[in-house]
Amino acid sequence: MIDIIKLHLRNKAHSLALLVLVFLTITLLLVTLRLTLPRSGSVKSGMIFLGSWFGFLGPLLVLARGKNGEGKFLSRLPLSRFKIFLGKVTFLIFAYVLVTGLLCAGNWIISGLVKLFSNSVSLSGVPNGQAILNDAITFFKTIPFFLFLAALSLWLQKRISSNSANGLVVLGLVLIFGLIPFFTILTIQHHSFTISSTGVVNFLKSYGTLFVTTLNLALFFAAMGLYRLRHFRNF
Amino acid sequence: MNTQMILEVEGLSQAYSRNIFRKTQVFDDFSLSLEPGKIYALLGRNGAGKTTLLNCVQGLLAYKPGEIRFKGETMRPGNTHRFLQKITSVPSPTEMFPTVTADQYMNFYQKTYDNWDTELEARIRKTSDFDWAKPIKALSTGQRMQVLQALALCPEPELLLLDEPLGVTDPVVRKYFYKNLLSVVAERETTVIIATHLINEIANLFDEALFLKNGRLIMRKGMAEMQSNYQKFIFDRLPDVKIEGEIGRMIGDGAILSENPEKTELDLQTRGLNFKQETPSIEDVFESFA
Repeated sequence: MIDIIKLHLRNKAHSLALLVLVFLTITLLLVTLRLTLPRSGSVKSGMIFLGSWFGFLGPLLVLARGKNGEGKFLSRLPLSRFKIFLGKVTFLIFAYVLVTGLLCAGNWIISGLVKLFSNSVSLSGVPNGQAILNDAITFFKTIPFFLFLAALSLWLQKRISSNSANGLVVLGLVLIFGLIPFFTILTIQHHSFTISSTGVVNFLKSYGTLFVTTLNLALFFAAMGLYRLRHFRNF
Repeated sequence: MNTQMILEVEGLSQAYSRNIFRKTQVFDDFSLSLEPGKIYALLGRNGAGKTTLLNCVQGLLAYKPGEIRFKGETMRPGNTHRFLQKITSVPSPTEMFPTVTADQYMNFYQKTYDNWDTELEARIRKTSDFDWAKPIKALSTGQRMQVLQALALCPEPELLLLDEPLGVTDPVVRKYFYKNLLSVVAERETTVIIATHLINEIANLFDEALFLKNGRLIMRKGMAEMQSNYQKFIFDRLPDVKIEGEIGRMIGDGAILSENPEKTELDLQTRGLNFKQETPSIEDVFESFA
């Protein structure tokens, strides 16, 4: 099992590092821009583009899925399907925790640096302990639903082993991962994002859920499309 | 005394879904049994069902109805992994993780399989001309094939499934591969099914050729049997009518393949046609049956 996870990690290490770098770069760019402008106020963390912390799961799924049959060789080995599935899910969870942890750490460091260099500018959208706890609770709330759908997908794959069925399973999984952020937002009272009061932010306050959900889904599909353009064939 | 078959396929039916409503039937009531310690060439045109058959044996594709038995034990897609300790294959290089190194692959496989031939591994590494510490994406397709060949041969399989294992490999690699394959078969009585289009190259390698056409086994013969049973008749211009004993034509060569050379010769003499006779190559037989 550990060897399967290690293999997945070795394969996706570059992509995960890239994911962290992209989001930290966005935050850094926004901070630099605001620091160079003669205005005070708060800067949004680059992580707002994820909609919620669970928005990671979408791109992560895409990363884990691979391209054209990549990883299919695992099915040719003397490993049970359950072991392969569990290996991949565990890898996903581990990768999720790792990427989230690195992003949190990166944001905290940037936030600290901003405080050090400027009294008038602050970084918002940086998660605190309470926000992470809330997200984690929601994550565990949505897990039974996810597991049910994952089991359903496996059952479907066993029943109808065909290209169309596999396509349906993938579509189903994508929808699940797209819906998880939506459920997260519906169930979380104190979301990770602190929104300051500007004209745009007032709009976000009124239509926040809808906006973030749409943004999340859009970003998910965009990330998927960007990462593996050919995957659009499956939808 | 009855020989225990290594692989038995009985009444296999398999269909691909083109979409939710339409299916393409690949096999319908297909049966086959293979003896241990033999090399079988699985031949047929593209779409004949070679890869599908190998995928069914590995439990990668569901089939209904039908039964596949390995050494008398029934395999199902759900329990095939138990048998895969003894059944290995050479898959397509596109299935490999691109950033994992060849060394890491070897370590992973070594831990996954109960048996591992370290001597053979050393031999394969010695004959290769690339750095095994490099990630797969840094290797050429031919070099990736060499890694896959090592991964299939080293776990000491009892049944080896090779689907186009030589792909784009150069002649030197192919030579070593055949050498290693023959040594594995000789040392451990491994049964090999090799699906390839490089049929002339394997002509001296296999014990029996299995010709597939549209999901049916249309012929099963050894090379010597083929050459003694069939005869090639070459013409300046192919006759327009079907000749007695004719079972197929080789359009490019302007020739026909006969399963009854005496009858064919008589018929041709009666018609006053000029011809030359030759012992057919496996490629001739393939073309005639395809």
